[in-house]
Amino acid sequence: MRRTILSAMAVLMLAAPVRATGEERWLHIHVDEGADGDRVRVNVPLSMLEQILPAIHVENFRGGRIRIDGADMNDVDLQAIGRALRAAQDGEFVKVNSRHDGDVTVSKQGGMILVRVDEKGEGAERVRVRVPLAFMDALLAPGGGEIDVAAAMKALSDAGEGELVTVESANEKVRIWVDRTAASAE
Amino acid sequence: MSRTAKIVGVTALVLAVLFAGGVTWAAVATWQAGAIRVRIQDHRAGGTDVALVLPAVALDAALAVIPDHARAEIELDAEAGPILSVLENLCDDLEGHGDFVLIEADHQNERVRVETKDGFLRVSVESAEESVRVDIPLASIAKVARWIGGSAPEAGPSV
Repeated sequence: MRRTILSAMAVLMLAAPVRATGEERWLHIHVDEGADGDRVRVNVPLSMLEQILPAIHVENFRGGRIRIDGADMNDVDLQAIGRALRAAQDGEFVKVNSRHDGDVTVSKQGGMILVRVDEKGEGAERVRVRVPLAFMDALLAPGGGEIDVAAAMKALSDAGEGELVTVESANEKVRIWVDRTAASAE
Repeated sequence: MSRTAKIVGVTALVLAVLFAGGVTWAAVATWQAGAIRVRIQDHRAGGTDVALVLPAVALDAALAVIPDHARAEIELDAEAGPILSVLENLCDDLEGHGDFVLIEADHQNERVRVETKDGFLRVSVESAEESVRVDIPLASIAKVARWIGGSAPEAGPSV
């Protein structure tokens, strides 16, 4: 019995660093502005953001929360929007088809909010946004004109891996995603 | 051998051991703390190359000998304390994540790269005119942030 417990403890101790490394999720941001444009790569461990953001107290950004000032936001109940999204069944909420400007759809599917924009014409952009509902819930939870970025990062980390935002046009490509690797694979 | 000669011999031996121990300790401390390295290479014709290596233990020693009243005289904004605290936490956290590229940005002919490597924060700037590389031990940044933060208004009474 004692040997079994010691063996189990040894295995757990050996496995702990592997588990910690494997569970770490990284937020990657890639921006490419064509051959002669800027190129930006950002790779941040989400756990680091969770720790750092609550410690920042600068202007409207305090304790991981951003206060959105302005008369426009006073009329918008962000929490109500979040609740409505949570309560809604999977399906398309918004669908706009424009012959000249392009197509836009907003839908909910499998706990994700999906936004698709396919512009038409010169410089047309193709946008894909895939945001976990838990992220939206955490972000909008404070209410009162505040959004909780730190809690949203925690929710993002818990939600797993995947693409969040992709914007593509003839001259520009932006990609934001979460995975378990420190290196940002192309 | 006379008694005096024995005393002199033993004293010399003790001093030699202490000296050797001190040198060894200093070498180990210097090696463990690493060094702040700054290298600037000017690629233009006649440009100058500069290489600066400062052992991090020298920085620790400098922080230790600066009198408390001098630190108390550092005037910081009310918002500086939390930022320094964030910087300290950030450095501690970065050390736990191994080597990785935090930010890499290319703008026209200039490339900026911020990465962690072997417990150092490395900032590299490459352009056609010059290359700049700065390596600072993350622990040193955290120490300086902690030290300066001690004089910040929100960080409590100054020591």
